[in-house]
This record gives sequence, structure tokens and C-alpha cells, in this order.
Amino acid sequence: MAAAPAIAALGLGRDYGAVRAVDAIDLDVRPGEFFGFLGPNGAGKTTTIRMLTTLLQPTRGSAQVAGRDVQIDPLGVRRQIGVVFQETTLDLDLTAEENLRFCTRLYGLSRKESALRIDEALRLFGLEERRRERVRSFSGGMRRALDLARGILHRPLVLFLDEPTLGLDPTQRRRIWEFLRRLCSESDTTLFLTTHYMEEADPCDRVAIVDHGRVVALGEPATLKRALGGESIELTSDRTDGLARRVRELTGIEPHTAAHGLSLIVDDAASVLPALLPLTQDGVEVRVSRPTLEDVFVAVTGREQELPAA
Amino acid sequence: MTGAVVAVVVREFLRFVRQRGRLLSTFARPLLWLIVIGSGFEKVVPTEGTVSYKQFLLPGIYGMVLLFSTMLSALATVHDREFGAIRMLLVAPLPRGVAVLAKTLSSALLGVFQAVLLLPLIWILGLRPPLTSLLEFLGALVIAALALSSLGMLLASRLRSIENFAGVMNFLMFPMFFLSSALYPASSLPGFLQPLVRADPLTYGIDLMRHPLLHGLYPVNLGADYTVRFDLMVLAGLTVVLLALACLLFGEEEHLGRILLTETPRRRTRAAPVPRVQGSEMRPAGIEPATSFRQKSRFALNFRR
Repeated sequence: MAAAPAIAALGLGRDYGAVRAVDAIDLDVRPGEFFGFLGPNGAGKTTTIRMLTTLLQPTRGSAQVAGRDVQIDPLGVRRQIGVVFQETTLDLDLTAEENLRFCTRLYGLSRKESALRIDEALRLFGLEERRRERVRSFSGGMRRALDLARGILHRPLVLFLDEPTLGLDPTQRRRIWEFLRRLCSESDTTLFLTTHYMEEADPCDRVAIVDHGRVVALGEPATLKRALGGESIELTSDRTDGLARRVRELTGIEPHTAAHGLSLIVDDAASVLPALLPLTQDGVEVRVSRPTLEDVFVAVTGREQELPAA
Repeated sequence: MTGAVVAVVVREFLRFVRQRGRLLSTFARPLLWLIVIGSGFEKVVPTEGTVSYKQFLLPGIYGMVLLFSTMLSALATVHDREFGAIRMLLVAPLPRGVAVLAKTLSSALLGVFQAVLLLPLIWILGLRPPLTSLLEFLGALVIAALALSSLGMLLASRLRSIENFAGVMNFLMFPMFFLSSALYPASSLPGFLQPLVRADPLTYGIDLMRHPLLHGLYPVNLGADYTVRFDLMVLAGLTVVLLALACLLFGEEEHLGRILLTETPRRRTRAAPVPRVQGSEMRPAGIEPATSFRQKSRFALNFRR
């Protein structure tokens, strides 16, 4: 059987009055894929998730999740999906176990089945020992982990996660990503995840980068980065005025603005670096690295004519 | 589907017993009214039959327990929709109506539960209803609670935020209580208030409870106003209509969508939450913007109570 896509969207869009939150999104997520939906805040990621999870009617276009149309058969879609919202939906006054049991009851699991899956989920997310404690006493990372555990209790075909690492410190974020990777490799659940932390999305099988409610790049993280060029040279300086012009004069390459200075995407850093040496005299710090998804994002949104075909 | 209803009912009860303040106020408020208002009025209101004023007041106190409990549940529903577990209901494979029914039922049952905790008051006040009357009283509690929780759910379906709700509570709960037959027979209010008295579901709920509780006594000026049959018909009719409306309005996905959107134009203009979340990566461990926001709103909720 030619596997039907886990998520398919065609020209999916949504307006709020005169505001065009999502312009037209095309998606084709394969079953079992770990799919990252990347973009800056306000790019339309959350609105897209809400349409795919039947919480919001699309203004235009269509979408199928697990083979069911979100507008024609919303119940069918909801039967196959799990959702982890941006804000937690846990009850703070209930214990971890009680929170999970609420969910298994909602999905009509039998008492025995429910007990098994709750054990399994708590083990997967390392919360076994705190199962009888109230969620109020949990750290942000543990609450998030419990949110994830709840999202997969009913074994959904597709799990949607809206900014699962938002508001967590780096250690907790790393842990959540570990859980997600494990979840993906140990089950055939399709993960559809949004994030604006581009640098985190490397473990994804494929990513789509959205900007202004449109997909502007799509592909494997490695491919996207490779398409951008071999290496990225970062120039950091206190004084950036005129730096871009000097770089242009010295190398003939157009730099783009990065967080603390400029960055250059080149095929081979070694051939360009000597030309940049004079800059170091002026206190400019030069660093060479592989391009990141951040660079890809800057490239596709800042200079779209150089966008690699997906 | 029944699983979902059970899930919601269990959740509401667990939350109720965990929140000490709520449990405490269940006892404090009615006892305060019964002891203070009851004793004061007893001196003023002449008793002509065998019913003391406190005995007359008791069904009104149960009505008050139901009113506060169901309206607070409705308030919690508005809060839930903004922050919590209702979202789980909305992405679960359930028709929208089931979510509303589950919420209504749990709110009604929670109200009945609180009234049942106060059942000993019946004997403390010297009433000795036979078992059949006691069962009738329990039935009346359930029916009145259903009508009130349907009303609460209808309100919750139309209200966007807790702030709005608090206003409605002040302009609704106390008028509903004073215009009902809780403190005095409904007929004793002047004619120009009668339309309001008759439009108040609490009037019929309390009246329905008064019949079995005062069974065997001979009230002259302190008795029930309407017949049991009339009370039942009004309450049942109200429940059906209010519940149907609530289902209809809750079920309207666009409306829900608008409420659920943290990105609606309305919220967008209020820029405060967004930068807070963006800056979160620079925060030290242990401070989570989402949580503090939630706690803050909790506080607002308690404060208004």
C-alpha cells in the first residue's frame, strides 16, 4: 500500500477579519515522520495546528489528517490525533496519575488498558516515582513531560505539539527533545511539531520553514543546510557600521545580518578567510561553522531568490 | 461517551475536595446566613403556624448552596476553556454536546453533593421528615441543581473571560437569591417585582424543596407558594431549553475558536504576554511564564470569590 500521507494540506489558510494569519500552507507529512514546522513568532504556526486539529475552521484550502478531512470528518480526525498545547492543560491539584487517568477515561479505555498505558507513559517520561504527587509540585520540565505523556496515552497516529519546549530552560529543553526522539524511534507515531527555536529542529526528519503564513522552505535539515553552502563565517564586532561594505570589498560576497554581526555563507571557508584577515586588526571576531537552520531561515526569508528548491 | 462524562465528573470532584477553601466556604456561607439572618429575622417575623422562621429558611439555604456551587462551576468552566482541561475535551473524539452535558452534569452533582453534606441541619433545626419526604427532597435538590447548572453553562458559553463573568455574577447571583423565595414567601414581594420573582429559577427550586421539608407541619404565613407539579414543570422545561441553548452555543466551533485563540486580534493588542514568553529563554530555571500567568489568573479568581 502506498502509504497515505499522515498530514496533507493544500492551500490551507485562515483570516481573522482583515488579518491574514495563515496565507496558504501546503504540507505533505509522511506516516511515522518527525516533522518540524519552523518559523518566527506570528508566522502562523499555532493557527495552522488549530486548523489541523479541528479546533478552527479554515477560511480557504483543505487538509486531511490520517486520511480524514478536517472539515468533513472532524470526529474521525480527533479519533486519530493527540495534541500537546502550547500552554499546559494539566490540573495542578490532581496527581500525575489522576491527570493521565482523566485522559484515558475520555478516550474510553478500559480500566486494565488504562492502568497499563499509564504505567508505560510514566516510565517513558521518567515520572514513575512522582505519580502520586500533585502536579503543582512539578517543575516546568516535568509538567511538560507529563503533557507529552498525556498526548500519547491513546496511541494517536499523529501527535501535534505546539512549541513543546517554550518557557523551559536549556536542560529541560534537551530532555524534552530526547523524549521526542525516543518516542519517534520506538513507535510509528507521526510527530508534527512547531518551534521558533530553529537550532533545536536538527533531529527532525524534515522541516518546513514558514514565514508570513506560507511555507518558504521544505526538506531535511541537512539538505537545507547543504544547499545553502559549505560553511558559514560569522563576524562579530562591536562596531558593525560599514562592516558589510568592507566585507563586500574584501571578498566580493554579500554578507547578511546575524544576531551579533554578520554572517557569510561560502563553499570553502579556507579560501575566503585570508581575505578577511585585515578585519581582525579592527577587533572583529571571525568564526567558522557549519550553517545552521537559523542561517537557512535568514537565507530563505531575507534573500528568497537564492532559495534552494525543496 | 459515558467514559467522558465519568472522566469530567471524577475530575470535578477531585478538584473540589483538594481545594480546601472551597470546601470550607461550602459550610461557612450557609451557616452564617442560617445563624445570623435566621436568628435576626426570627425575632421580627411573626410565626402564625407551627413552622419557625429558621425552618422556613432552610430550603432557601440549600438553594443558596446550589446557586453558589453551580455558578462557581460555570466560572471554572470559563477559566478551564482559557487555560485548561476543556481543551482536552475539544480535541477528544466527542461531539461538542457531550462536553457540555458532562460539564452540566458534574456541576449539578457537585452542588447536590455540597447540599448533602449539610443535610444534618434538617434534624438540628428540629424537622423530622419521613423517609419518603427525604427522598423527595433529594430529588428536588437534583432537579433544582440541573436547572441552575444549565443556566450557568449557558452563561459560560457566551462569556469570553473570567473578568466578564465576575460582573455577571454580581449582577445575577445576589439578585437571583433575593428575588427567590429563599428569605420570604415569594408572594410577599410587591407586585412590580413579581415578574422577576417568577422569572427566577431559584424561586421554583426552593419552593420544590420546601414542600417535602415542611411535610407534616402547618405553615400559615411561612409556607410554599406553588404546587409541586408546577415547580417540576417549570424546572424541567427550563433545564431542557437552557441546556439545548448551551449545547448550541458551545457547539458553535467558530465561537470556541475565537475564545481559544491566544492570537486573536483582541489579545494581540494586549502585548504583555507575548514578550514575556519570548524572553523566557533568558530566564533562570524554575520561572515559567506560562505558569505564573496561570497562577495569577487563579489569584484573580479567588479574589473575586
